[in-house]
Amino acid sequence: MATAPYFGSDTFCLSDVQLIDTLVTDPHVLIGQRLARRLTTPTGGLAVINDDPGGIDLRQYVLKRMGPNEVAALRTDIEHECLKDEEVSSVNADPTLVDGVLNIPMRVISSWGPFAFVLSVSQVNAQVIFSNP
Amino acid sequence: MTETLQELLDPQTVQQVFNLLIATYQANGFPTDSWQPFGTERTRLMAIATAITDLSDNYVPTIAAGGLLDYAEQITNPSWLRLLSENNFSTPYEPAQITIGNITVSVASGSGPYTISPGQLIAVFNASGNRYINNNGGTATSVSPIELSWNAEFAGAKYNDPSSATITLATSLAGVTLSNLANNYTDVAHVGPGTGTIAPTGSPIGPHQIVVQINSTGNAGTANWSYSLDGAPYVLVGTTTPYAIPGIGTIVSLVDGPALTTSFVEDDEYLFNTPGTWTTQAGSDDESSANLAQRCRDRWSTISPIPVNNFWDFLVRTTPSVGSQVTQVIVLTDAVINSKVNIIVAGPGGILPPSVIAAIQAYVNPRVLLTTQALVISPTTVPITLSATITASVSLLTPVQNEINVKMINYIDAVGINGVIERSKIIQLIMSTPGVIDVDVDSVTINGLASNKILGSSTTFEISDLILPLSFGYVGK
Repeated sequence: MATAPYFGSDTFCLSDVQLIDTLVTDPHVLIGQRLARRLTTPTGGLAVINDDPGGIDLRQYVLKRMGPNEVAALRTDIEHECLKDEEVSSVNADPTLVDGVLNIPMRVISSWGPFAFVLSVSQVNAQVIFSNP
Repeated sequence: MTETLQELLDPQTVQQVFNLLIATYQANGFPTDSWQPFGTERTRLMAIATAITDLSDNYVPTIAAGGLLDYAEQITNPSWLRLLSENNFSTPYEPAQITIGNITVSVASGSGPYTISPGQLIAVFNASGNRYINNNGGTATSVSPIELSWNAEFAGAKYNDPSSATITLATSLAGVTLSNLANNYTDVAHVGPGTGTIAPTGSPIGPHQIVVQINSTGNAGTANWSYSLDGAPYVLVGTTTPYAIPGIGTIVSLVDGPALTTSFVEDDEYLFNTPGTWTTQAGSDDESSANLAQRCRDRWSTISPIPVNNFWDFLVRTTPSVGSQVTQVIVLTDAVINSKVNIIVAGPGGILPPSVIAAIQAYVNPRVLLTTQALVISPTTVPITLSATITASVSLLTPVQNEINVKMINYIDAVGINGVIERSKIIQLIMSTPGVIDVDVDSVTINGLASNKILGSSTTFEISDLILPLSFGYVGK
């Protein structure tokens, strides 16, 4: 069994840190959580603390009436935003909006290798469900 | 760790603090290299670095500088220096003062009479737009105009409007006009307990300041007195009254006070200037940091048994009731009398009213050594006539004239004691006025000469007095 390269570690955090900090070392969880936070942070949200000025808050779309053109544009925005992460080399997103929940199955090719996950965004929370690549 | 004052004074950037935090984490074995934007720990550290930088940038340099006079003077927020000056030097800062002056209310024939209450009227100086409110009242009729005292609407040096200005009434009364003509002489200010007064008369020739000193107690005709003209040594007159001071067209009369009292008391001083001015108190801005720091430095000299220049500087800048009106001070040992010190003072708008000079003199006198004589005087005023031919847009002619008037007044005021009035600056000020198309450079003269005007010398002290209205020709285009 090949040993995965060490991608470092970070604290588990999707929409909030846990009561007790949990260390994340799995590369695709690390990258996936970063992408999830990137896609639930208002543009420029981190600029107020002098950090990366990017971000796109997908929660703004969940109550929106969206036609095929808007969905296509959103898909481009999501992929463009994800590609800003240094460890993401390509990404394919397929957003669908159903009953106020934005589901985005994503296939990501990272420097560690391909993996897939589904980001599910509603008005009140965001979830990430990882699946096998 | 901070090792030098300079490190405390230099604000740190967010990136510097962030790098410091990262280095600390690295030293403790954390995998900081993998922390990317939108990573949890990196975001936390950036937030902490931002908060620390806020402290380091906004507070640490000012706290470090705020306790040291030379550095506190440089802080943009003057509160630090004010705190330091009050706590360490027992020298509170002087707040801005309002201009107070006299304006005459005249009523046209067929109008009035008007009974005017304090605070009822608002006068507007057309050139500057400055507004003044009357602080006393009275009845004005068509045969007896009334002179009222007026306070500037707000404190500040920008309210030093000239005499003989065009003034309109914002709170209009039918047939009422306002004027602030300067009399031949200012009111006479008095330092000392005597009840007598001085009455200057005659047709004055040129601007002068006269200080009358009583040399022996008595009444008019028996009290010996002398006078000092423009800061020169006193000239003994004897008991003669009235007396015409040679060369300046001024006749000085001693006038007794109430009966059964001795009118004139030895060492009393009476001060007046010619020409007069409409102001009785000069407006001034909040004391500048440079001025306040200078007073703090001067403070050390007050514990010396020998009065040095800083001591005199401190006294005149710290005189109670005068406040921030004194913004320029030159201390000079008299060229003729060794033990005499001439203290030349002026405010942001030029020379100060005699009542202010008298207040300073009264504050200085009891603090002078017995063997020393300190004379507080204004610099000699030099009338300045400016001429120029200006081409301006026809539709903007009036606002152009008003703005140029204000600019010239402010510039000439800012030149200060023994400054240089520059033609190039005058041209620049005119050309930077919206609506001005051109100025004929050759036509720009100062007192008739196409050259800079240098005021004073190492032994004489002069300050400019702009003659209004300006001799500017305007060509509409």
